[in-house]
Amino acid sequence: MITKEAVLEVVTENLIDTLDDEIEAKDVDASKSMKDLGANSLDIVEVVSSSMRQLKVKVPRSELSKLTNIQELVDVLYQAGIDKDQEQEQQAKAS
Amino acid sequence: MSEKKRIVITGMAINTRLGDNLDTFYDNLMAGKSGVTNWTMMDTSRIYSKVGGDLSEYNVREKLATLKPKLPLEQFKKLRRMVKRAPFTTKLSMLAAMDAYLDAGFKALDPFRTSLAVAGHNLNKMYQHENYLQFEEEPDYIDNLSSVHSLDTDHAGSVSEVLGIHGPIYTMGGACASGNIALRNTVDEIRHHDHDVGFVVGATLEFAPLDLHAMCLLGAISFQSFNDTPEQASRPYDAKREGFIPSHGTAVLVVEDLEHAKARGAKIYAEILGVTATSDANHLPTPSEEGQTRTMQRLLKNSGVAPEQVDYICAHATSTPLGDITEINSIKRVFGDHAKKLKINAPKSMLGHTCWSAAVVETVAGVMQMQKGWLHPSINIEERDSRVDLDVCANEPVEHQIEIMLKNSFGFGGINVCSLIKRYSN
Repeated sequence: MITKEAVLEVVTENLIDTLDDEIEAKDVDASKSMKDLGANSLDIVEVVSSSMRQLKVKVPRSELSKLTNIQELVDVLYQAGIDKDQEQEQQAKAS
Repeated sequence: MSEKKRIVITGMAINTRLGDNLDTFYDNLMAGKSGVTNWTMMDTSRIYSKVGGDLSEYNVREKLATLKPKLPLEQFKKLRRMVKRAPFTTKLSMLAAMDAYLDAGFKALDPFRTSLAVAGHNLNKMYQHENYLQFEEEPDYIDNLSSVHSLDTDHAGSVSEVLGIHGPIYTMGGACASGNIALRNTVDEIRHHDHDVGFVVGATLEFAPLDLHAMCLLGAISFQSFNDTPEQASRPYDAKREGFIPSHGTAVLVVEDLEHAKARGAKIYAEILGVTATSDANHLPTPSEEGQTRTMQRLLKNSGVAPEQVDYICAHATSTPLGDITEINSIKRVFGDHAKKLKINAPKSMLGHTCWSAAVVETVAGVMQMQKGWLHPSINIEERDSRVDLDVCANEPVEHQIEIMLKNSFGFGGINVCSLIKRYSN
Protein backbone atom coordinates (compact mmCIF):
# COMPACT_ATOMS: atom_id res chain seq x y z
CA MET A 1 0.00 0.00 0.00
CA ILE A 2 1.31 3.46 -0.91
CA THR A 3 2.27 5.94 1.81
CA LYS A 4 1.52 9.65 1.96
CA GLU A 5 5.25 10.32 1.73
CA ALA A 6 5.40 8.42 -1.55
CA VAL A 7 2.43 10.40 -2.90
CA LEU A 8 4.12 13.67 -1.93
CA GLU A 9 7.23 12.49 -3.75
CA VAL A 10 5.24 11.88 -6.94
CA VAL A 11 3.52 15.28 -6.74
CA THR A 12 6.85 17.00 -6.04
CA GLU A 13 8.56 15.31 -8.99
CA ASN A 14 5.75 16.32 -11.32
CA LEU A 15 5.73 19.89 -10.05
CA ILE A 16 9.48 20.23 -10.59
CA ASP A 17 9.18 18.69 -14.05
CA THR A 18 6.26 20.94 -15.02
CA LEU A 19 8.13 24.03 -13.83
CA ASP A 20 11.17 22.99 -15.90
CA ASP A 21 13.46 22.49 -12.94
CA GLU A 22 13.02 26.13 -11.89
CA ILE A 23 12.49 24.84 -8.33
CA GLU A 24 14.08 22.05 -6.30
CA ALA A 25 12.54 19.43 -4.05
CA LYS A 26 13.62 21.34 -0.96
CA ASP A 27 11.53 24.34 -2.12
CA VAL A 28 8.34 22.28 -2.08
CA ASP A 29 6.58 23.08 1.19
CA ALA A 30 3.39 21.02 1.30
CA SER A 31 1.59 23.67 3.30
CA LYS A 32 1.90 26.05 0.35
CA SER A 33 -0.12 26.12 -2.85
CA MET A 34 1.50 25.35 -6.19
CA LYS A 35 0.75 28.93 -7.21
CA ASP A 36 3.01 30.10 -4.38
CA LEU A 37 5.80 28.16 -6.08
CA GLY A 38 5.24 29.77 -9.48
CA ALA A 39 2.76 27.42 -11.16
CA ASN A 40 -0.08 28.81 -13.27
CA SER A 41 -3.50 27.16 -13.58
CA LEU A 42 -2.48 25.02 -16.57
CA ASP A 43 0.67 23.92 -14.73
CA ILE A 44 -1.46 22.81 -11.80
CA VAL A 45 -3.78 20.79 -14.04
CA GLU A 46 -0.68 19.17 -15.56
CA VAL A 47 0.74 18.25 -12.14
CA VAL A 48 -2.58 16.82 -10.94
CA SER A 49 -3.21 14.85 -14.15
CA SER A 50 0.31 13.45 -14.30
CA SER A 51 0.17 12.44 -10.64
CA MET A 52 -3.20 10.71 -11.08
CA ARG A 53 -1.94 8.81 -14.11
CA GLN A 54 1.25 7.79 -12.33
CA LEU A 55 -0.53 6.69 -9.15
CA LYS A 56 -3.32 5.07 -11.18
CA VAL A 57 -5.98 6.82 -9.12
CA LYS A 58 -8.83 9.13 -10.03
CA VAL A 59 -10.21 12.11 -8.13
CA PRO A 60 -13.31 13.93 -9.42
CA ARG A 61 -12.50 17.41 -10.76
CA SER A 62 -15.18 18.91 -8.50
CA GLU A 63 -13.23 17.69 -5.47
CA LEU A 64 -9.91 18.94 -6.83
CA SER A 65 -11.21 22.47 -7.28
CA LYS A 66 -11.68 22.81 -3.50
CA LEU A 67 -8.03 22.14 -2.66
CA THR A 68 -5.95 25.03 -1.35
CA ASN A 69 -2.47 23.56 -0.85
CA ILE A 70 -0.17 20.69 -1.84
CA GLN A 71 -0.83 18.68 1.32
CA GLU A 72 -4.58 18.62 0.58
CA LEU A 73 -3.82 17.29 -2.89
CA VAL A 74 -1.57 14.61 -1.41
CA ASP A 75 -4.35 13.66 1.01
CA VAL A 76 -7.04 13.22 -1.64
CA LEU A 77 -4.69 11.28 -3.94
CA TYR A 78 -3.69 9.04 -1.02
CA GLN A 79 -7.34 8.50 -0.04
CA ALA A 80 -8.25 7.69 -3.64
CA GLY A 81 -5.52 5.02 -3.58
CA ILE A 82 -6.87 3.54 -0.36
CA ASP A 83 -10.44 3.53 -1.74
CA LYS A 84 -9.26 1.86 -4.94
CA ASP A 85 -7.35 -0.85 -3.06
CA GLN A 86 -10.38 -1.59 -0.87
CA GLU A 87 -12.68 -1.74 -3.87
CA GLN A 88 -10.35 -4.19 -5.60
CA GLU A 89 -10.15 -6.35 -2.48
CA GLN A 90 -13.94 -6.49 -2.24
CA GLN A 91 -14.21 -7.39 -5.90
CA ALA A 92 -11.64 -10.14 -5.44
CA LYS A 93 -13.57 -11.57 -2.49
CA ALA A 94 -16.86 -11.39 -4.37
CA SER A 95 -15.45 -13.32 -7.29
CA MET B 1 -1.16 49.46 -60.96
CA SER B 2 2.20 49.33 -59.20
CA GLU B 3 4.74 46.70 -60.13
CA LYS B 4 4.51 43.40 -58.22
CA LYS B 5 6.83 43.11 -55.25
CA ARG B 6 9.60 40.58 -55.85
CA ILE B 7 9.50 37.76 -53.32
CA VAL B 8 12.48 35.70 -52.23
CA ILE B 9 13.36 32.79 -49.99
CA THR B 10 15.80 33.84 -47.28
CA GLY B 11 15.65 30.99 -44.80
CA MET B 12 15.05 27.25 -44.81
CA ALA B 13 14.87 24.36 -42.39
CA ILE B 14 14.29 20.65 -42.78
CA ASN B 15 13.62 17.57 -40.71
CA THR B 16 13.15 14.27 -42.49
CA ARG B 17 14.56 10.78 -42.24
CA LEU B 18 17.37 12.07 -44.45
CA GLY B 19 18.49 14.72 -42.01
CA ASP B 20 17.48 17.55 -39.72
CA ASN B 21 19.82 20.11 -41.24
CA LEU B 22 20.22 21.37 -44.79
CA ASP B 23 23.67 19.95 -45.52
CA THR B 24 23.00 16.42 -44.28
CA PHE B 25 19.66 16.40 -46.09
CA TYR B 26 21.32 17.47 -49.35
CA ASP B 27 24.20 15.00 -48.97
CA ASN B 28 21.82 12.08 -48.40
CA LEU B 29 19.68 13.08 -51.37
CA MET B 30 22.74 13.21 -53.59
CA ALA B 31 23.90 9.83 -52.26
CA GLY B 32 20.57 8.31 -53.27
CA LYS B 33 19.83 7.18 -49.74
CA SER B 34 16.33 6.00 -48.88
CA GLY B 35 14.69 7.21 -45.67
CA VAL B 36 12.00 4.54 -45.75
CA THR B 37 11.99 1.80 -43.12
CA ASN B 38 9.48 -0.41 -41.36
CA TRP B 39 7.17 1.57 -39.05
CA THR B 40 8.37 1.76 -35.47
CA MET B 41 5.85 4.25 -34.07
CA MET B 42 2.97 1.79 -34.05
CA ASP B 43 2.06 -1.86 -33.91
CA THR B 44 1.35 -2.80 -37.53
CA SER B 45 0.24 -6.37 -36.85
CA ARG B 46 -3.42 -5.57 -37.58
CA ILE B 47 -2.90 -3.29 -40.58
CA TYR B 48 -1.55 -3.85 -44.06
CA SER B 49 0.84 -0.89 -44.07
CA LYS B 50 4.29 -1.90 -42.83
CA VAL B 51 6.65 0.68 -44.29
CA GLY B 52 7.05 4.44 -44.06
CA GLY B 53 9.35 7.33 -43.35
CA ASP B 54 9.20 7.16 -39.58
CA LEU B 55 10.59 10.03 -37.51
CA SER B 56 8.95 9.00 -34.26
CA GLU B 57 12.28 8.15 -32.64
CA TYR B 58 13.75 11.53 -33.53
CA ASN B 59 15.97 12.86 -30.75
CA VAL B 60 14.31 16.13 -29.72
CA ARG B 61 16.61 16.61 -26.73
CA GLU B 62 19.68 16.47 -28.98
CA LYS B 63 18.17 19.02 -31.34
CA LEU B 64 17.39 21.37 -28.47
CA ALA B 65 21.01 21.07 -27.35
CA THR B 66 22.21 22.24 -30.78
CA LEU B 67 19.86 25.25 -30.62
CA LYS B 68 20.79 26.30 -27.08
CA PRO B 69 24.05 28.16 -27.87
CA LYS B 70 22.42 29.98 -30.79
CA LEU B 71 19.54 31.56 -28.87
CA PRO B 72 19.15 34.10 -26.06
CA LEU B 73 18.60 32.15 -22.83
CA GLU B 74 15.01 33.29 -22.27
CA GLN B 75 14.00 32.44 -25.84
CA PHE B 76 15.64 29.04 -25.53
CA LYS B 77 13.90 28.33 -22.22
CA LYS B 78 10.54 29.20 -23.74
CA LEU B 79 11.22 26.91 -26.71
CA ARG B 80 12.34 24.06 -24.45
CA ARG B 81 9.31 24.42 -22.22
CA MET B 82 6.86 24.46 -25.12
CA VAL B 83 8.58 21.61 -26.96
CA LYS B 84 8.49 19.47 -23.84
CA ARG B 85 4.72 19.65 -23.51
CA ALA B 86 3.70 19.55 -27.16
CA PRO B 87 2.64 16.53 -29.19
CA PHE B 88 5.29 15.01 -31.45
CA THR B 89 4.47 16.82 -34.69
CA THR B 90 4.04 20.19 -32.97
CA LYS B 91 7.48 19.76 -31.43
CA LEU B 92 8.89 19.28 -34.93
CA SER B 93 7.13 22.40 -36.23
CA MET B 94 8.53 24.58 -33.45
CA LEU B 95 12.07 23.22 -33.78
CA ALA B 96 12.15 23.62 -37.56
CA ALA B 97 10.65 27.12 -37.39
CA MET B 98 13.39 28.13 -34.97
CA ASP B 99 16.00 26.59 -37.27
CA ALA B 100 14.62 28.57 -40.22
CA TYR B 101 14.54 31.78 -38.18
CA LEU B 102 18.22 31.31 -37.39
CA ASP B 103 19.06 30.30 -40.96
CA ALA B 104 17.44 33.52 -42.19
CA GLY B 105 19.83 35.46 -39.98
CA PHE B 106 17.21 37.27 -37.93
CA LYS B 107 18.20 38.79 -34.63
CA ALA B 108 14.57 39.78 -34.07
CA LEU B 109 11.39 39.87 -36.12
CA ASP B 110 9.09 42.83 -36.54
CA PRO B 111 6.21 41.01 -34.84
CA PHE B 112 3.43 42.91 -36.62
CA ARG B 113 4.90 42.63 -40.12
CA THR B 114 5.40 38.85 -40.10
CA SER B 115 2.87 36.19 -41.12
CA LEU B 116 2.80 32.46 -40.47
CA ALA B 117 1.06 29.79 -42.53
CA VAL B 118 1.12 26.15 -41.42
CA ALA B 119 0.59 23.78 -44.32
CA GLY B 120 -1.65 20.85 -43.51
CA HIS B 121 -4.71 19.65 -41.64
CA ASN B 122 -5.64 16.70 -39.40
CA LEU B 123 -2.00 16.74 -38.39
CA ASN B 124 -1.62 15.13 -34.96
CA LYS B 125 -3.36 11.91 -35.85
CA MET B 126 -1.37 9.46 -33.75
CA TYR B 127 -1.58 11.79 -30.75
CA GLN B 128 -5.36 11.83 -31.10
CA HIS B 129 -5.49 8.09 -31.67
CA GLU B 130 -3.59 7.50 -28.43
CA ASN B 131 -5.83 9.90 -26.56
CA TYR B 132 -8.93 8.09 -27.83
CA LEU B 133 -7.48 4.79 -26.63
CA GLN B 134 -6.72 6.37 -23.25
CA PHE B 135 -10.21 7.86 -23.13
CA GLU B 136 -11.73 4.43 -23.65
CA GLU B 137 -9.68 3.11 -20.75
CA GLU B 138 -10.05 6.09 -18.41
CA PRO B 139 -11.38 9.51 -19.55
CA ASP B 140 -9.61 11.43 -16.79
CA TYR B 141 -6.18 10.22 -17.90
CA ILE B 142 -6.17 11.81 -21.37
CA ASP B 143 -3.69 14.62 -21.99
CA ASN B 144 -5.08 17.50 -19.96
CA LEU B 145 -4.20 19.88 -22.80
CA SER B 146 -5.85 17.67 -25.41
CA SER B 147 -8.41 20.32 -26.32
CA VAL B 148 -5.54 22.62 -27.30
CA HIS B 149 -3.03 20.11 -28.63
CA SER B 150 -5.57 18.38 -30.88
CA LEU B 151 -6.15 21.51 -32.92
CA ASP B 152 -4.11 21.96 -36.08
CA THR B 153 -3.95 25.64 -35.25
CA ASP B 154 -1.90 24.73 -32.18
CA HIS B 155 1.03 24.37 -34.60
CA ALA B 156 0.50 27.98 -35.69
CA GLY B 157 -0.07 29.19 -32.14
CA SER B 158 2.98 27.39 -30.80
CA VAL B 159 5.33 28.55 -33.57
CA SER B 160 4.04 32.12 -33.26
CA GLU B 161 4.71 32.01 -29.53
CA VAL B 162 8.29 30.76 -29.80
CA LEU B 163 9.09 33.26 -32.56
CA GLY B 164 7.04 36.16 -31.16
CA ILE B 165 4.90 36.64 -34.28
CA HIS B 166 1.85 38.91 -33.99
CA GLY B 167 0.81 39.00 -37.65
CA PRO B 168 -1.76 36.63 -39.15
CA ILE B 169 -1.31 32.95 -38.27
CA TYR B 170 -3.35 30.07 -39.62
CA THR B 171 -3.34 26.63 -41.23
CA MET B 172 -3.83 26.07 -44.94
CA GLY B 173 -5.38 22.80 -46.06
CA GLY B 174 -4.90 21.37 -49.51
CA ALA B 175 -4.14 17.69 -48.91
CA CYS B 176 -0.83 16.81 -50.60
CA ALA B 177 -0.70 20.27 -52.18
CA SER B 178 -0.99 22.04 -48.80
CA GLY B 179 2.64 23.16 -48.85
CA ASN B 180 2.26 25.05 -52.11
CA ILE B 181 -1.12 26.49 -51.06
CA ALA B 182 0.55 27.87 -47.94
CA LEU B 183 3.40 29.26 -50.02
CA ARG B 184 0.91 30.91 -52.39
CA ASN B 185 -0.90 32.56 -49.51
CA THR B 186 2.33 33.73 -47.94
CA VAL B 187 3.34 35.43 -51.18
CA ASP B 188 -0.05 37.16 -51.03
CA GLU B 189 0.55 38.21 -47.41
CA ILE B 190 3.61 40.11 -48.58
CA ARG B 191 2.21 41.42 -51.86
CA HIS B 192 -1.28 42.34 -50.72
CA HIS B 193 -1.46 42.43 -46.93
CA ASP B 194 1.46 44.66 -46.02
CA HIS B 195 3.81 42.10 -44.45
CA ASP B 196 7.56 41.92 -45.02
CA VAL B 197 8.24 38.35 -43.95
CA GLY B 198 6.21 35.13 -43.97
CA PHE B 199 6.99 31.75 -42.47
CA VAL B 200 5.68 28.71 -44.32
CA VAL B 201 5.71 25.71 -42.02
CA GLY B 202 5.21 22.36 -43.71
CA ALA B 203 4.05 20.35 -40.72
CA THR B 204 4.45 16.61 -40.33
CA LEU B 205 1.33 14.56 -40.88
CA GLU B 206 1.64 11.98 -38.15
CA PHE B 207 -0.57 9.17 -39.54
CA ALA B 208 -2.51 6.83 -37.26
CA PRO B 209 -3.02 3.12 -37.95
CA LEU B 210 -6.57 3.73 -39.16
CA ASP B 211 -5.40 6.28 -41.77
CA LEU B 212 -2.73 3.95 -43.08
CA HIS B 213 -5.11 1.05 -43.27
CA ALA B 214 -7.72 3.16 -45.04
CA MET B 215 -5.17 4.19 -47.66
CA CYS B 216 -4.26 0.53 -48.20
CA LEU B 217 -7.93 -0.32 -48.75
CA LEU B 218 -8.05 2.51 -51.26
CA GLY B 219 -4.97 1.11 -53.02
CA ALA B 220 -3.14 4.41 -52.64
CA ILE B 221 -0.10 3.25 -50.71
CA SER B 222 2.42 0.45 -51.15
CA PHE B 223 1.76 -2.54 -48.90
CA GLN B 224 2.39 -5.72 -50.87
CA SER B 225 5.78 -6.27 -52.45
CA PHE B 226 8.31 -4.28 -50.42
CA ASN B 227 7.58 -4.92 -46.74
CA ASP B 228 10.91 -6.75 -46.38
CA THR B 229 12.83 -4.23 -48.51
CA PRO B 230 11.35 -0.89 -47.40
CA GLU B 231 14.16 1.11 -48.99
CA GLN B 232 12.91 -0.11 -52.39
CA ALA B 233 9.23 0.62 -51.79
CA SER B 234 9.16 4.17 -53.13
CA ARG B 235 9.98 3.87 -56.82
CA PRO B 236 8.48 6.59 -59.00
CA TYR B 237 8.69 5.87 -62.73
CA ASP B 238 9.60 2.21 -62.17
CA ALA B 239 7.36 -0.43 -63.73
CA LYS B 240 6.88 -2.20 -60.38
CA ARG B 241 5.70 0.86 -58.42
CA GLU B 242 2.56 0.10 -56.45
CA GLY B 243 1.66 3.16 -54.43
CA PHE B 244 3.11 5.95 -52.35
CA ILE B 245 4.99 5.59 -49.07
CA PRO B 246 3.61 7.69 -46.21
CA SER B 247 6.39 9.59 -44.47
CA HIS B 248 6.99 12.06 -41.72
CA GLY B 249 8.70 15.29 -42.69
CA THR B 250 8.75 18.91 -41.58
CA ALA B 251 10.19 21.84 -43.47
CA VAL B 252 10.05 25.61 -43.19
CA LEU B 253 10.58 28.37 -45.73
CA VAL B 254 11.17 31.98 -44.78
CA VAL B 255 9.66 34.08 -47.55
CA GLU B 256 10.45 37.77 -47.76
CA ASP B 257 9.98 40.95 -49.72
CA LEU B 258 13.18 41.30 -51.77
CA GLU B 259 13.70 44.93 -50.80
CA HIS B 260 13.28 44.09 -47.13
CA ALA B 261 15.75 41.21 -47.47
CA LYS B 262 18.30 43.43 -49.21
CA ALA B 263 17.90 46.19 -46.64
CA ARG B 264 18.81 43.83 -43.81
CA GLY B 265 21.63 42.21 -45.79
CA ALA B 266 19.99 38.78 -45.83
CA LYS B 267 21.36 35.90 -47.87
CA ILE B 268 18.95 35.17 -50.68
CA TYR B 269 18.42 31.57 -51.74
CA ALA B 270 16.01 32.01 -54.64
CA GLU B 271 13.18 34.09 -56.04
CA ILE B 272 9.56 32.95 -56.13
CA LEU B 273 8.14 33.86 -59.52
CA GLY B 274 4.64 32.58 -58.88
CA VAL B 275 2.37 29.97 -57.37
CA THR B 276 -0.83 28.88 -59.10
CA ALA B 277 -3.72 26.80 -57.79
CA THR B 278 -6.62 25.16 -59.60
CA SER B 279 -8.99 22.27 -58.96
CA ASP B 280 -10.69 19.50 -60.88
CA ALA B 281 -14.23 19.52 -59.45
CA ASN B 282 -13.59 15.96 -58.29
CA HIS B 283 -13.40 14.96 -54.63
CA LEU B 284 -11.77 11.60 -55.34
CA PRO B 285 -8.02 10.94 -55.45
CA THR B 286 -7.93 10.71 -59.23
CA PRO B 287 -5.24 12.82 -60.91
CA SER B 288 -6.32 14.86 -63.92
CA GLU B 289 -4.06 15.47 -66.89
CA GLU B 290 -6.27 18.37 -67.93
CA GLY B 291 -6.15 19.90 -64.45
CA GLN B 292 -2.40 19.53 -64.08
CA THR B 293 -1.76 20.88 -67.58
CA ARG B 294 -4.03 23.87 -66.98
CA THR B 295 -2.26 24.65 -63.71
CA MET B 296 1.25 24.58 -65.14
CA GLN B 297 0.21 26.61 -68.20
CA ARG B 298 -1.51 29.23 -66.10
CA LEU B 299 1.46 29.45 -63.75
CA LEU B 300 3.85 30.05 -66.64
CA LYS B 301 1.56 32.69 -68.14
CA ASN B 302 0.97 34.50 -64.83
CA SER B 303 4.68 34.49 -64.07
CA GLY B 304 5.66 35.78 -67.52
CA VAL B 305 7.87 32.74 -68.12
CA ALA B 306 8.08 30.90 -71.46
CA PRO B 307 8.05 27.08 -71.22
CA GLU B 308 11.54 27.01 -72.74
CA GLN B 309 12.92 29.02 -69.80
CA VAL B 310 12.12 26.24 -67.35
CA ASP B 311 14.97 23.76 -67.09
CA TYR B 312 14.10 21.64 -64.07
CA ILE B 313 11.00 20.05 -62.57
CA CYS B 314 10.93 18.90 -58.97
CA ALA B 315 8.18 16.41 -59.65
CA HIS B 316 5.20 15.42 -57.53
CA ALA B 317 5.90 11.78 -58.58
CA THR B 318 4.53 9.81 -55.64
CA SER B 319 5.19 6.29 -56.98
CA THR B 320 1.58 5.50 -57.79
CA PRO B 321 0.92 3.74 -61.10
CA LEU B 322 -1.57 6.36 -62.34
CA GLY B 323 -0.18 9.52 -60.71
CA ASP B 324 3.34 9.34 -62.11
CA ILE B 325 2.27 8.81 -65.68
CA THR B 326 -0.44 11.47 -65.46
CA GLU B 327 2.16 14.04 -64.41
CA ILE B 328 4.60 12.96 -67.15
CA ASN B 329 1.85 13.30 -69.75
CA SER B 330 0.87 16.71 -68.40
CA ILE B 331 4.48 17.87 -68.59
CA LYS B 332 4.66 16.76 -72.23
CA ARG B 333 1.49 18.68 -73.04
CA VAL B 334 2.73 21.87 -71.36
CA PHE B 335 6.31 21.82 -72.63
CA GLY B 336 5.96 20.14 -76.03
CA ASP B 337 9.36 19.45 -77.61
CA HIS B 338 11.11 21.23 -74.75
CA ALA B 339 9.98 18.43 -72.40
CA LYS B 340 12.84 16.28 -73.74
CA LYS B 341 15.35 18.92 -72.61
CA LEU B 342 13.97 19.18 -69.08
CA LYS B 343 15.66 17.63 -66.08
CA ILE B 344 13.12 15.99 -63.79
CA ASN B 345 13.62 14.16 -60.52
CA ALA B 346 11.50 12.53 -57.86
CA PRO B 347 12.46 13.42 -54.26
CA LYS B 348 9.80 11.03 -52.98
CA SER B 349 11.85 8.12 -54.29
CA MET B 350 14.06 8.68 -51.23
CA LEU B 351 11.85 10.61 -48.83
CA GLY B 352 8.58 8.81 -49.35
CA HIS B 353 5.53 11.06 -49.46
CA THR B 354 5.42 13.59 -46.66
CA CYS B 355 1.91 14.52 -47.86
CA TRP B 356 0.82 17.88 -46.44
CA SER B 357 4.38 19.16 -46.08
CA ALA B 358 5.67 17.61 -49.30
CA ALA B 359 5.77 20.78 -51.40
CA VAL B 360 7.71 22.60 -48.66
CA VAL B 361 10.08 19.68 -47.99
CA GLU B 362 10.74 19.26 -51.71
CA THR B 363 11.10 22.98 -52.39
CA VAL B 364 13.90 22.93 -49.81
CA ALA B 365 15.40 19.99 -51.73
CA GLY B 366 15.03 21.88 -55.03
CA VAL B 367 16.56 25.08 -53.71
CA MET B 368 19.49 23.15 -52.22
CA GLN B 369 20.12 21.59 -55.64
CA MET B 370 19.89 25.06 -57.20
CA GLN B 371 22.51 26.28 -54.73
CA LYS B 372 24.91 23.41 -55.33
CA GLY B 373 24.58 22.88 -59.08
CA TRP B 374 23.72 19.19 -58.85
CA LEU B 375 20.49 17.21 -59.17
CA HIS B 376 19.75 14.23 -56.97
CA PRO B 377 18.84 10.89 -58.53
CA SER B 378 15.39 9.35 -58.72
CA ILE B 379 16.23 6.04 -57.07
CA ASN B 380 14.82 2.54 -57.45
CA ILE B 381 14.27 2.75 -61.21
CA GLU B 382 15.15 -0.86 -62.09
CA GLU B 383 12.82 -1.26 -65.01
CA ARG B 384 11.63 2.10 -66.25
CA ASP B 385 7.96 2.40 -67.19
CA SER B 386 8.20 2.60 -70.99
CA ARG B 387 5.82 5.58 -71.03
CA VAL B 388 8.30 7.61 -68.96
CA ASP B 389 10.43 8.85 -71.86
CA LEU B 390 11.77 12.05 -70.29
CA ASP B 391 15.03 12.62 -68.39
CA VAL B 392 14.11 11.68 -64.82
CA CYS B 393 17.69 11.53 -63.47
CA ALA B 394 17.42 7.77 -63.06
CA ASN B 395 19.56 6.36 -60.24
CA GLU B 396 22.53 8.73 -60.61
CA PRO B 397 23.04 12.37 -59.61
CA VAL B 398 23.39 14.82 -62.49
CA GLU B 399 25.51 17.95 -62.65
CA HIS B 400 23.20 20.75 -63.69
CA GLN B 401 22.77 24.41 -62.77
CA ILE B 402 19.05 25.04 -62.25
CA GLU B 403 17.84 28.39 -63.54
CA ILE B 404 14.06 28.03 -63.14
CA MET B 405 12.44 25.22 -61.16
CA LEU B 406 8.86 24.09 -61.44
CA LYS B 407 7.62 22.46 -58.23
CA ASN B 408 4.50 20.40 -58.76
CA SER B 409 2.09 19.29 -56.06
CA PHE B 410 -1.23 17.53 -56.56
CA GLY B 411 -3.59 16.61 -53.75
CA PHE B 412 -6.49 14.23 -53.17
CA GLY B 413 -9.70 15.96 -54.17
CA GLY B 414 -8.43 17.40 -57.43
CA ILE B 415 -6.21 20.04 -55.85
CA ASN B 416 -3.43 21.21 -58.17
CA VAL B 417 -0.84 23.74 -57.01
CA CYS B 418 2.45 24.48 -58.75
CA SER B 419 5.20 27.01 -58.06
CA LEU B 420 7.99 28.52 -60.14
CA ILE B 421 11.24 29.34 -58.40
CA LYS B 422 14.22 31.06 -60.01
CA ARG B 423 17.88 31.18 -59.15
CA TYR B 424 18.38 34.59 -57.61
CA SER B 425 20.13 37.32 -59.50
CA ASN B 426 19.89 41.08 -59.22
